[in-house]
Amino acid sequence: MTYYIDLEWIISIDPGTGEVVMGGGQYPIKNLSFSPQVDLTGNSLPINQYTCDVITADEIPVDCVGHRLRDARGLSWAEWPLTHVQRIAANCWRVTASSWLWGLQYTELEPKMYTTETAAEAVAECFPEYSSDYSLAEDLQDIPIRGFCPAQTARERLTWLLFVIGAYADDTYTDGVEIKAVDDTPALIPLEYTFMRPAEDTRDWVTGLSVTAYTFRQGTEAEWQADENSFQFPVPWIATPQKFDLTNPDAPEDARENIIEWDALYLVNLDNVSGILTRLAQYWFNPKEVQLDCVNNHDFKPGDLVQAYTDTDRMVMGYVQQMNSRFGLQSRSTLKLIGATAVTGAKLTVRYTYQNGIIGKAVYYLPVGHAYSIANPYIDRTVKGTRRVYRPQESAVTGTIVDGENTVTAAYDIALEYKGKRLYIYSVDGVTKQDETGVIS
Amino acid sequence: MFSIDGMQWTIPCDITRTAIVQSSEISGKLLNGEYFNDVEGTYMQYEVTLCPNTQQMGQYYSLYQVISQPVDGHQFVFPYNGSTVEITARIEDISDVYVRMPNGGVYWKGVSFTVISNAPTYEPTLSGAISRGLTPLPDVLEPEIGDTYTYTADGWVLVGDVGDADTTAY
Repeated sequence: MTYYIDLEWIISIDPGTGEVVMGGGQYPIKNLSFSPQVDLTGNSLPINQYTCDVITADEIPVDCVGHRLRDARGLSWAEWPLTHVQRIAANCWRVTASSWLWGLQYTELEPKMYTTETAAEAVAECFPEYSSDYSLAEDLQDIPIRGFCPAQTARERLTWLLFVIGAYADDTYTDGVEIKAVDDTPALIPLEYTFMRPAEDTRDWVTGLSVTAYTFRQGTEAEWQADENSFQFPVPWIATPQKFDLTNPDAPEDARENIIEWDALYLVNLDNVSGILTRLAQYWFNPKEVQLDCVNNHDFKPGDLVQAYTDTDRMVMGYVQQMNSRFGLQSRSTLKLIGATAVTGAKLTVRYTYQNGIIGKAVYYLPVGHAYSIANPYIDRTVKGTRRVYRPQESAVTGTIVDGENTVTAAYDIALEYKGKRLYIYSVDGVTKQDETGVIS
Repeated sequence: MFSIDGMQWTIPCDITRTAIVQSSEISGKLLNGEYFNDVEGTYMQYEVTLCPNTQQMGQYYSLYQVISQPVDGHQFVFPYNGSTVEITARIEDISDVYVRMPNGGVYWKGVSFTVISNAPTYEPTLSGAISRGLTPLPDVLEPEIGDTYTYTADGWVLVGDVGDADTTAY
C-alpha cells in the first residue's frame, strides 16, 4: 500500500525560448510484480522488468523521463524507463518498466576483431546511446579483450564480454546499470529476518565444463577459404581452437553425464580460459539451491553473496540469483540462492550482567569467522514489586565468531527504578528524549 | 449522531464500531518462531443501522440517496471515545427491508450500511517497526540523576531530588 512510482514527462517545449514544461508526480501503485535476477554464470543477460498499476487519472505517456519505484521510506528499488503503458480504467494505468539493458537488444553492432582493446572500451561500444546510464567497476576496466565478435546485438556482445571478464550487470536499486564482479564478502541474513521455512533443492549434477579457447593470427585469402574457423574482417584471420575441459570432482560416479559446453565464444583465449573455467565451476559444480523469504529493507539484491539460515542451527552461503519482492510497511523478498554450500556455525552467548549477577542472556548461532556487532538492549525487569530498567555500559558487543563455544559479557547499570509508586533516576547519561532506545521517551 | 460530507443526520440508529489493525501480506512466521507482523495501520469500520420512525421517512430517503451514490468515498464524522473522529471512507453493503403491513400500509425500514475508512486512522512509523519490542516507559521529560517522580492523575510528576538515591554506586 505504501509504495509509489515517480513519473515525469515533457508536456511542451516552447520553440522560441526553449522552455520545457514538465508534468508528472508521485503516484501510488498496486499489483506490483518485481522479480529482478542476474546470471552470474555469464550464460545470458537477463533484462529485468517490473509491472504495476498506477493510480492516476493523468495521461501517462510512454516516453516518461523519470520512473522510480519507491518503497514506504522513499528508497528507490529500480529506476528504469517505461516500455509499455496501458490504460485499464479511468484512473488506473498498467505500466511496464524495463531495465536500461532493454535498449541493447535493438542496437546492432558490426563484426569486430579485438586486438588491443580494454574491457572499458569494448563495453562502451555496447552502450552507444546509453553512455551515461552504466558504470564499469574500476578493477575490470583494464582487462584486455582479445578475439573476434561477429555481427550481433549489443545485448549479445555485452553477454560475451561479461562472460570473459567475469562480471554481471546489476540494475537493481541503482540509476542505470553497474557492471561489476561478484563481491566475495558475504552478507548475513539475520535469523530474525528469515521467514519460516527455507526450501533446499538439488538440481541435476553438472559433471563437466568444456570451453573452447581461440588463438587468432592473420592469414591469407587461401587459408581463410580453407578454414571454417576463420574470419574475414577486415583481413583474413585464422582461428586455432583449443578445447579445455574441467571435470566436476564432487559429482557422484553414477551421475548422468551432463557437460556444459561453450564452443563458439571467440573472446575466450589462452589468457582468460583458466579464470573463466574457475568461475564457472564455482556456480555450476555445486547443485544445491536454496529458496528463502526474508525481511529485506533494501539490504540484499541479486548478485549478492549471502549467508543464510535454513534452520535455527544450520546455515548456507550462496549467490542471490533472483529476488521477488513484496511490499508492506517493510519489504519481504523471496531470494533464490545458487551454488549454496554449507557454512560452519557456532553458538554465541551474550551474558548481561549487573555487578556480579546475571540479569539476562541471549544466544545466537552465527557463522564461524563472522564479525558481529550486536546491540545491547535495555533490560526491563520487575522483581518483588520493584521494576528496574538496566542500561548497558556499551552500546554493543563486538567480536569474531570462532569454532566452538563463544561467550561474551555486557555490563549494565541501573538506569531507572520504580518502587513504592516512585520512579528513581539513577543513571541517564547520554539518554535524551530523542534517544532511540525509548527508555525515556 | 453522525455526518456525511458535512451533513448531520439525526435519524435514530445503532452504530457498531470496529478498529481493524491491518497487517500487510508480507507478515508471517519467522524461522526463530516469532511472528513478523507488518502492520500497515488501524482502519476504522462503522456499521450503521437506521431505525427511523414514520415521520422521518423524508430524511431516510434523502440519506439513502446520499449513501448509494457511486463515489470513491465520503467524509464521515462518527462518535469516537467521547468525542468524534473524521474519516474518509467508502460505503459497502447497503441493504434495507420493504415492509407491507396487514392494513395495506407500506414502508422501508432499517437501512444498514458499512463504512470502512480508506486511509488508516493510526499509522505506524517505519523506524518504530524496525526497532520493535522495547517496553514503553513513563514519559520523563527532563531526567536528571537523583530525580524522583511519582505517578498522579496528571501523569508522572517530579517530587524532588532524593538524597538517598545512589548516583555513583551503579
